[in-house]
Amino acid sequence: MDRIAVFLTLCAASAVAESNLRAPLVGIGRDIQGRIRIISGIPGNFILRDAIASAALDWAFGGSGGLMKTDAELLKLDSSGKVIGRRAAPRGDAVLGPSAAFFPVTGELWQANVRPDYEIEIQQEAIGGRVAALGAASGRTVALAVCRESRLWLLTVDAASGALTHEVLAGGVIGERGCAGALLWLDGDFLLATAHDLVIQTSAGDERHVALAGGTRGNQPELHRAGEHWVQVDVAGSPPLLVHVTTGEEKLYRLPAMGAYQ
Amino acid sequence: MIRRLLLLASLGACTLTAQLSLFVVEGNSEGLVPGQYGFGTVSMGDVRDIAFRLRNTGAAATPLTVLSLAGTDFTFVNPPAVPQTVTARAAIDFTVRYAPTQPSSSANFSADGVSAIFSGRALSAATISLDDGSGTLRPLMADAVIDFGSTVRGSTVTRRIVLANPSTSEKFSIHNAVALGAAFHLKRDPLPFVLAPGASANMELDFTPKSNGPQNGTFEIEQRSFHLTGTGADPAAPIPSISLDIPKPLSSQQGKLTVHLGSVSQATTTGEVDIDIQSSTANASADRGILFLATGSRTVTFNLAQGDTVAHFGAEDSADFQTGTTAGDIVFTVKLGDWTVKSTLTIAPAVVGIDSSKAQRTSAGLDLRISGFDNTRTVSKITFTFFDPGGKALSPGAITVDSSAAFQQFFSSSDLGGLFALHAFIPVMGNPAQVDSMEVKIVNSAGAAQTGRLRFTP
Repeated sequence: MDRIAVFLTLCAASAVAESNLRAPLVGIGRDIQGRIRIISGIPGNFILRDAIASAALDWAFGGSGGLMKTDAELLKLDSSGKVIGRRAAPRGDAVLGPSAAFFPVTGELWQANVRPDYEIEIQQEAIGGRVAALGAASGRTVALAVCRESRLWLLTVDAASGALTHEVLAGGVIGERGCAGALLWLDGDFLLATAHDLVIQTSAGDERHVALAGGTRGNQPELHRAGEHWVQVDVAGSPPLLVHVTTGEEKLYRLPAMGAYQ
Repeated sequence: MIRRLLLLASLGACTLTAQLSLFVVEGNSEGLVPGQYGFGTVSMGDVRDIAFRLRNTGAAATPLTVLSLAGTDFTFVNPPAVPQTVTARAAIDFTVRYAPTQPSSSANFSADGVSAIFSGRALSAATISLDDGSGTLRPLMADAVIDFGSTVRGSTVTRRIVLANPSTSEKFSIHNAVALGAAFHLKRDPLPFVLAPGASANMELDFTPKSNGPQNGTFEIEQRSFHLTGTGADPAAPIPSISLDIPKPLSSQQGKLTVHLGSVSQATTTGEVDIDIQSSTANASADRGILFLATGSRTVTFNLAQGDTVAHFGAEDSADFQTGTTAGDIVFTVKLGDWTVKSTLTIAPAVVGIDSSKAQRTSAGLDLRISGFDNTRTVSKITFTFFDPGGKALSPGAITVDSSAAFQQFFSSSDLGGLFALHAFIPVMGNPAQVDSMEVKIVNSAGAAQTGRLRFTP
């Protein structure tokens, strides 16, 4: 123990000298012009940085990286938000998580955190509905939230074979209303955006509601995983919003426009 | 033969002789005056100006030595200099004014071989004069312009019109007197009315613009008409005031700014708000986080319409802003018309704000990540304290590192205010699992900020 203590003394003294100081990263967001940008800052203080894409259908960014879907490509992002890989992908919409993508057109599930990128096909009969969100991908299994008629089901799929290994009806308001809006599965918590409000249902079953100002026009919002604890809410005709999702609390912020001097 | 040649030479010389001809000028064309010209009928008290041109139609220069008008009521307005030489095919322009003082009159015009009779008839009428507000009457000729100048929309400018009967024996009946144009209104006695010899009558012409910009009309009285013109201008904007809605006057906050108006706006106009920082830290670097969210810049514009009591920022009644991460006075400046109003939001120097912290254990050592801000840019010391799985501080206890140079260097090259993300890696020889958790204290000029107990995760 003493040896460790002595060593810590020496190493801690040099830790800051060897440390890396940089701008804190919030995540990846879409500005009001539709460009995908790196966002620096902390809650309440956002600064839009370089654009990494002029447009995207969807994106999902966690703390260690993310994915972005354009019309015909899937782009891989590193932990700083930079594009580090790209490959052709089925055209049109995809359901994204930070490390996995599901393509409804082909039924393919791609896992980006497996080397080399791993693809499996999930039988439509096994899904039995519309994939609304992706949950955590462990490497061995992948979690999918699937709308079957108006109810939300949570499916576990074997990552190697694509076989369905488990399914359960989602509980709470998400189970009942999860198919009535935009759904995001964030580290065990669910976020559901409707034209009127944002519903957060935690993994513990707690349920909270946040009013969406743009919802007064009745426009259906979009949800995008913007960062480790961040979700972007886009309502057509309204400025983009960022929701900071932390234990026991959600806080809504407005994303700045890209100014002339930025 | 010689006689014939002399005759031909004589004829040829005649055709080369310079000669002047009189033309009346109408726009870009001219018409030859065949010995007489009628000025038509002009109301007594009015004038009619006609432009003429003396043109040398010959191939050689000719002198102009005579230019005269013999008669009454006709005068030159701008007589050319005499004598002078008129070169071949050149012309001299001048204007003759007919100002009747009697029922009919004429004058003989002559100029070096050119002569013509000018004639005109007069219509008995009242003289019309204008008081433009100075108290002095100015005679109005037909087609004159009555200019009301620029006046605030909704207010009224009045001009006094005086009709006078100059006759000593004849009386005039006025049957028609009207102002045409939405912004113009004529106040007068009921029609018809009679002007006795030597009598006069007053009228008032009002200009009340209901919209902004130039506005035109016509004032007609009997057979004469006059052009009316004026410009409607925006009323002065009400004095603005600023209210700020922000949870706390701290760094890294989003708030709302509202521009209230001291009275209901009669103006339809625009204004702008600027946001700026007067840092309380001498070496504070740029802070791009201080901005208006709608524009992403430090300026936002707003609109006012009639009836407004607050300014409109697009579809919203307020402008969202960020306070950034710099201590000092955030100054909001509203510019509206002649008004400039400021409001200051003071952001006090604060201890380092720690937004997130994460401690991870790897096979090679300990990995620490802290995100936050220092609104004073004065981070000096960082103290690490490591704990064993039993919660006991590992010897030798708190380890303090002077990090001021590293932070100063970082802040000096950053334009993101006091934001920072610290990533420190501490290599460990032996088993890193013996180090269970840590606490970090960061000191700046405002005090010390301390993380909670950070457990190292695999």
